[in-house]
Amino acid sequence: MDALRGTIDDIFYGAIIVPLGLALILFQLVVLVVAVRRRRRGRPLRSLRLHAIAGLSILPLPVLIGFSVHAARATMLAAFTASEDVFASEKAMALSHGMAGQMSAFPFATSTIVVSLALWSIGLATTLSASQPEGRARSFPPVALIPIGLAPLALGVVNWSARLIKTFAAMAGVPPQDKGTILEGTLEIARGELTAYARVSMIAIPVLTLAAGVLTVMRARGGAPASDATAAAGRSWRLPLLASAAAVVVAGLLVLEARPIAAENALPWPPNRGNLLVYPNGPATPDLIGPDPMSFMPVVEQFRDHVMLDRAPLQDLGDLEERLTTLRNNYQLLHPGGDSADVALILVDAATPSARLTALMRAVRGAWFYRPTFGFTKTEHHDRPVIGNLERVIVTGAQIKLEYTDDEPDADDAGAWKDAVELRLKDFADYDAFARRLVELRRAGKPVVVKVPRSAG
Amino acid sequence: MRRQTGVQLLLVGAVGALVLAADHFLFHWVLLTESMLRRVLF
Repeated sequence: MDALRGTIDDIFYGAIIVPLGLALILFQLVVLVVAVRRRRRGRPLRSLRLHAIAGLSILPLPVLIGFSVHAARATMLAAFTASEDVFASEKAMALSHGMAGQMSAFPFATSTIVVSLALWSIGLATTLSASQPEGRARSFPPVALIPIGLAPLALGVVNWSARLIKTFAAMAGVPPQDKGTILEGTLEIARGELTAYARVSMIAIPVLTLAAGVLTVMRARGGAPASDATAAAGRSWRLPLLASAAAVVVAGLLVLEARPIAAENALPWPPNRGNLLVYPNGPATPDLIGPDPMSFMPVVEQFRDHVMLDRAPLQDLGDLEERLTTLRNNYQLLHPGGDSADVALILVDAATPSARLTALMRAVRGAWFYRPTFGFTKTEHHDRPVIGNLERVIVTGAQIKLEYTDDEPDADDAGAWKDAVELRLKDFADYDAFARRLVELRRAGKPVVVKVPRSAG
Repeated sequence: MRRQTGVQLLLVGAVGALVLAADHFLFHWVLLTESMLRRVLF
């Protein structure tokens, strides 16, 4: 019951779609029971009107599901393009709701439609195969074979959704930085499987069409009794001709409609180089790509004329040191006995003079963040057929060990940092020159130590 | 009779084309959710 309530909550318009789906299955069951009981009593249904109504009643469900998935995607697209004023938590909620709406709609729709169609077909076959008063049984029109070719795709969609839902469920305990990689891996596997199922359908449909054609010819040659549909066609060839024209037009529309979607699906996504920086419009960092990995850490931004910590504007570097110290103390209270918080991401405007850079690093060291990483941002633009224009800021890093000039040597100095190269900030005119040398050394695998005087004097 | 069979065969072919187009459309329509997810990761 809870699962059902969850499905109703997840699916957009779920309060209409889920009860309708369940009512549809119930209705098909009732029609099937009526057809079986009438046949057992030797009074099979003469008219196919009840089966026609039952068949037509299935149609609103895929249409509603189409609207539902469209609404879920529109919610996500709106969240992607929402202004910076919208809270990140609201965007995350919208994205999560939109994704849950799609992932729940696909398996529910597929299974409900397949079960309804199966029950409907059995009911119809029960009525058709009963002997008529003239002693002949009617039969399914061969054309009804063809949609069975969609069954592998339906199975593939259920399998694809189930794989993704399982991955989402298993994601709870995974570290945030690993979630993307795991999800991307699952998406690759799931796409491969869905493609395989779709290929089976793509082969099955022409084969079934051919079989339906052969059956049609055989029945015509053998003078077999015409099915109801064929009998109707016998009375008028206009109806099947019109139906054929309509089918071809709808097929054309579907192909046209699928074109941009297929182009979107075929266009590869750029790889995730470096970490995604959540803050757009940061300082204009040097045009470099750093080799060092990064994890979640406080972000210090040095602009031309002001400094920010995690996007909060600060009065001065004294304020920065104070707030960084508070962050570090809070971290240690929350992680007693754990690794100390000594990493921070430092984004600096390329034109920052070395004197200002020295003052900045003194504040960072003062708060005991002595393993800072300098970050280099790059803005990427991508134009996609359905998703539209995308922009993201990628940040890569180069890590240093930051010390006061009068710091006592520690255990690291004799170990991993024994061969470290010392860079003096005053040897560089500005941050751009320093950063180029730093990245050059880090790319060569050299550890780098930067020492700053304890006091400004 | 021959015309009837011809019309029936035409219907079979048209329905085959429709189902094939539906298969193509549904596959890509479902897979579009992957793009939405990748957009979240982007």
